[in-house]
Amino acid sequence: MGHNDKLIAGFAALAITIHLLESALPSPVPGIKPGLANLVTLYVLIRHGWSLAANVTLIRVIAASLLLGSFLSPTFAMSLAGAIASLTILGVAWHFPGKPFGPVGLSILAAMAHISAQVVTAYLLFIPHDSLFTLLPILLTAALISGTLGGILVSKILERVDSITNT
Amino acid sequence: MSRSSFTALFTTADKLLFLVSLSLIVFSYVYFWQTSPASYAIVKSGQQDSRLINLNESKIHQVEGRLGISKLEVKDGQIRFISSACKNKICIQSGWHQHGGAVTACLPNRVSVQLGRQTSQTDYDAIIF
Amino acid sequence: MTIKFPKISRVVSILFLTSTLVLSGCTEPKPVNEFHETVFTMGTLVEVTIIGEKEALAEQAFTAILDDFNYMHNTWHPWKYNALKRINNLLVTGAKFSLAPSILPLIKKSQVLSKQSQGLFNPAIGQLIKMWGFHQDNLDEIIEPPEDEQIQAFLSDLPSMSDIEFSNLSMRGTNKNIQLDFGAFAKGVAVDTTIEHLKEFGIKNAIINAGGDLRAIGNNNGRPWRIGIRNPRAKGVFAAVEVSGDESVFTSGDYERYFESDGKRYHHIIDPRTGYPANKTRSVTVIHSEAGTADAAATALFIAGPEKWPEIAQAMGIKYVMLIARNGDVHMNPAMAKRIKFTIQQPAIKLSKPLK
Repeated sequence: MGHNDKLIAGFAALAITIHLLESALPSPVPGIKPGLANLVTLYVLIRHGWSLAANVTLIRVIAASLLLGSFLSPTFAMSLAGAIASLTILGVAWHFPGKPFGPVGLSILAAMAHISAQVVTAYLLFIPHDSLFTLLPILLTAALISGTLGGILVSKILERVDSITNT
Repeated sequence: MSRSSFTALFTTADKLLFLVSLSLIVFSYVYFWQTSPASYAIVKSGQQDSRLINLNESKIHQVEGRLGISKLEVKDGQIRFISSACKNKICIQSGWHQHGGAVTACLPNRVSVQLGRQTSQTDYDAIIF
Repeated sequence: MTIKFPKISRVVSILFLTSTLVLSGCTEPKPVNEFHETVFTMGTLVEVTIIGEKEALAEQAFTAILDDFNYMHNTWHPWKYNALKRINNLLVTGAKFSLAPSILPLIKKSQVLSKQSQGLFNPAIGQLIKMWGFHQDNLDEIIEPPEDEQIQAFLSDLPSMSDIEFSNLSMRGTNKNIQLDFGAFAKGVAVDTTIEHLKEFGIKNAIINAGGDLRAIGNNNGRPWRIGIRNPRAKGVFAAVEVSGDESVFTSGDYERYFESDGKRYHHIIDPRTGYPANKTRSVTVIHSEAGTADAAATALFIAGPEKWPEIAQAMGIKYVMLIARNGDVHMNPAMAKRIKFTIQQPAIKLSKPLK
C-alpha cells in the first residue's frame, strides 16, 4: 500500500463518518444536505492536490451510500451530483492562475456548486415541479453560510496541523 | 480570535467571491420569489374598456355589461362571477377559474374573463366545457 | 396593456437571457407571436389563438373570420328573418322552391350525419326545440316546459332530414312539421369554415374555440395543443387531451343550456324519440377531424346513452369518445382512454370494444 493509498483510505474513512452523521440531519428537501463531508475534500485538496481529493470524495459517496443502503437510489444520485459538481468547481478554482482563492473561497464555491447541482438533479429526476426552485434562494443562503463557516474551520485545522507538525 | 486574524482568513478573491455570492443570492430571492406566478385576467365588456385584473389581490371587481353589473370575486389566484345581471346565472354556476388560458363569460351580459397564460403545467391552450 | 414585474427582476431576466444567448452561440431566437382574441358572435364567446405569424397577418385573418362568423350567424340563425327562415317557411308548404346555396352545405352534411346516427342527431325538429324554448340565443325569458299533448302530437308525425327532397336546383319538404334548427352543429360547421379560411391565409398553427366547439390546427411552438375539459359540477379542469395536426374536440353536456321549472331542470339536448330532454347522460366528449361532425356525434351519442353509444359512434365514423353517464360512470373506447388525462383523480373507466 503506497503512501497515497494510505492517505486516501484514512481521509475517506473520516469523510464517510462525517457523511453518515450528516445523513441523520433533517433537510427541507429529502437528500439535500449541507455537505460537511466536503470539508475533508477541501482539506485533502489543499494539502495533497485535486486527484487525491477526488478519490477521497468519490469513495466517500459510494461507500457511505452502501453503508446507508442507498446505493443507486435517489439519495445516492443527489450526493454524487453534489460531489461531482463541487469537485469540478474546486478543480477549476484550485488550478486558477495565481491561486487567488483561500480555504474560505474554495469552500464557498464548493458549497454553492454542491447545493445547486443537488437542486437541479432533484428537479430533473424526482420533483419536476417549478416550486422546487422557490427553495433555491434559501438553500443558497444556507450554502453560503455553511461554506464560509466550513472554510474558516478548515483554515483553523490547517493552522493547527501546521503548528503540530512544525514543532 | 482577533479581528485581524479573522479577516486574514479571507483572501481578496475570497472576499470578492463572498460578495458576488451574496448578491447572487439576493437576486435569486427576487427572481424565484417575487415574480412567481404573475397571475392576471383580462376582463372585457361591450360597455367598458377591457381591463387587467391582478389575481393575487383578493378583491371584488364590478364590471358594467349590456344588461347591468357583473361582480367578479378574486381570491387566491382564482376568479369567479358572484353576481350578474342575467337570468340563468350560468356564469356564477361555472364557479372558480384558475387555469391559465381559461376563458369564462356571462354571455347575456357580454362580460368575458380571460385568464393569462404562464406556460406552466396547469395551463391550457384552450378550455372546453 | 403590460404586466409589471419588479424592476430588479427584469434586470436579472435580461442578464440571464443575454448570458444564455452568449452561451448558445448567439443563435437568434425564433419569434413566436401569439395572437389571442375573444369576441362575442354566433351567440357565444369565440376565442381565436394564432401562433407564429406576424401580428398584421393574424389581425387581418381574425377580421376576415369574424366577418365569416357574423355572416353565418345571421344566415343560419333559426327564427330570424334570414335565408334559413325563408327555407323553413317554404319547407312546410310542401311545394318546390329554389334551393338556398348558403344553407345547402349544412343540409347536405346533416342529412348524412342524421342518417348515420339513426336519427338521433336530427336538425329537422326545430318545431320541438322551439316548444322547449331552446331556440333563443339567451334563455332570458321565463320558460315553462311544453304540454305533453303538444309533444305527442308532434311526435306522431316526426320530421327527419330525409323529409327534404332535392331535384336539380330546387328542393321541397315532405313533412308539414319540418323546421330546421341546426343548433350547435351550425357552430361546429362555422368553426370548420373559419379554420379553412385561416388556412387560406397561410396560417398553420391556430385554435378556434367557439364556446366549447373547438378545432385546432398545427401545434403550439412545437408541442401539441393542450386542451382542458372543464368539469361542470366541480371546480376547474378535470381532464385534458393533447391535439395536433388538425383535430376538433367537442363536449356536449346537460349543463350548458337549461332552465328550471317547478324545481325540475330541463336541458337543451332533446331526444327526438321521446320529445323530452335525453336523460341517460351527463356529457359526451368527442375528438374528430371536423368540428361539425364532432358536434353532431356528441349530440347523437348523448341521446344514445351509456348502452347504445358505441354502435352509433361506429356508424358515424367516430374514433374517440368519452361519455359520462347520468350515474357518474365514465365510459370510453380504448383509443380515447389512451389520449385523455385526468387532472384531479383518475375515475374508474368502463371501456367499450375498440371503435373501428
